[in-house]
Amino acid sequence: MKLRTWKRMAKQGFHNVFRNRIMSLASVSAIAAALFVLGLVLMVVMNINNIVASLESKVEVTIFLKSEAQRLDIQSLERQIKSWEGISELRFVSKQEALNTWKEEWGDKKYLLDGYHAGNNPLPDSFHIKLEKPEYVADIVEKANAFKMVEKVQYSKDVVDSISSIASTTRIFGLIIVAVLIAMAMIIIHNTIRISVYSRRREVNIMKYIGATDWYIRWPFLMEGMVLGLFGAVISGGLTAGVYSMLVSRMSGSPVQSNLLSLFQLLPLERVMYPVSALFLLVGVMVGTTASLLSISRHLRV
Amino acid sequence: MIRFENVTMVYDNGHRALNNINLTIGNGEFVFIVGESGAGKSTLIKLLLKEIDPTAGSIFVKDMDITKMKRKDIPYYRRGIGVVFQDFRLLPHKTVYENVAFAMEIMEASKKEIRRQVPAVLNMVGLAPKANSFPGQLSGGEQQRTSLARALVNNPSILIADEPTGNLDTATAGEIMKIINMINHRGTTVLMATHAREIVDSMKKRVITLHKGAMVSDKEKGEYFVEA
Repeated sequence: MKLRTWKRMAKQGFHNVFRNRIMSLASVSAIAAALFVLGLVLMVVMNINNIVASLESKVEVTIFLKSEAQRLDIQSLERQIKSWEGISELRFVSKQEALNTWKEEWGDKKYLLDGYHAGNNPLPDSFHIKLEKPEYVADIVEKANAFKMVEKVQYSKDVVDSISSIASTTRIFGLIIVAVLIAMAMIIIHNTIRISVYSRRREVNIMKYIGATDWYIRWPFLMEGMVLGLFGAVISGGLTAGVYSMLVSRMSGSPVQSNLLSLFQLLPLERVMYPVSALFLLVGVMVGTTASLLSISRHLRV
Repeated sequence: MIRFENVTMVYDNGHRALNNINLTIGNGEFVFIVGESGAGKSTLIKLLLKEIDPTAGSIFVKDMDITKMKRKDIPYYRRGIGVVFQDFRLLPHKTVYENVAFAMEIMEASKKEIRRQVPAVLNMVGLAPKANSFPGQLSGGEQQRTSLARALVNNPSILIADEPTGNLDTATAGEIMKIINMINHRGTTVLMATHAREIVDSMKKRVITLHKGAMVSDKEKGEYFVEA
């Protein structure tokens, strides 16, 4: 096709959006509403995942060392642990530090520990390891136990197991809900656009009679669907961002926030909006375009 | 120009709309197709526009068997044929000018050609003053003239008119017939389906009569006549 034909078809597509104001408005609101619901659910899912991830990162393994372990051996073990997979944080606590902490924890009863000092300190040196994911626990325990200087490896098996099962369940559920909502949004958008195209089946018919090719008729509809999808995505994106930023500002000032520490911190707006708006644009434009394309096809058989 | 050879059309529901039609229409002829509703006029026109394909037989237009034409070639075939209908079939959101220009745009004509051709055709059908009106603002006669202008703008060699005066009063119908007659005098073959007796009788053109799917008469300078 010639360039001027493309220009004409693009112009036609944009004109159609405004000429069929009522149907366009219906399509854009349907797209925006479907995506808005999807966006809200997506934000809840993303935040729950974030909470679960922060729980996961709280899993800790402690490696207690034998008292005869030498400084050089300890340093070489530290280097090795650092190279293991799944370690997010590694801290060495010397027996002296451990004693100090112990005394602090006992507060005004610490005089009971006054008998203990560097010379007869019963506490061992230890490594405190934070993990990226609870799944790494077994591996790390096994590796640590292989060292002669390691006295004992400690971790809470029950906590680790329940956290990792919660994590995988919420992820699967989140994924299913989001997938279902994406499918629903697609169906709603598709149906609205189909009605819009159906209302103009006579026009399509006329174009066929005067010798327009199928693609000459299709392209403007396709561009129209793309524009509708784009508008819907932008509107729903704005709505979702507005609602979310309101929530974030409410939550940051409330006492709930400080009580539960960092655990229930909402994700910052940008981190949520980047994937959400990308998804909106993708779903909006893709479904808008394909829905137009599919809807028009049934009217082209003349 | 147009030749039907043993054309039979039986619809999916078993209705036999045309039965063994043989018919030749020469270059530049003016032919009326008459008959009551259900006689097969519309089927004949649908076949010519390749909206449907016959159950049996061949249809030649400009020496090409259109029953064997590929789907993708249909638009290009239709561009060589001007069509007007009883219900005008104008694009409601386009002005008179745009409706006519659209027929040129689909042929990828340049803006320059469109600017030259469209006003000329509108002038010919007497619609130049209404160029910027929308179909909804026009009378039936004006709408039919717009649709004639659209059919003519690409200089088709054949004009097919399906009951073009069916929705118009007698005086307006007369004006439309004048335009169609003028188009015929410029060399375009005209095929017009109608059951307007006065028009057929006054024009003294070739008349082909269909009755229940069969051709019952074919007369030069004929008159409207339907067997009971």
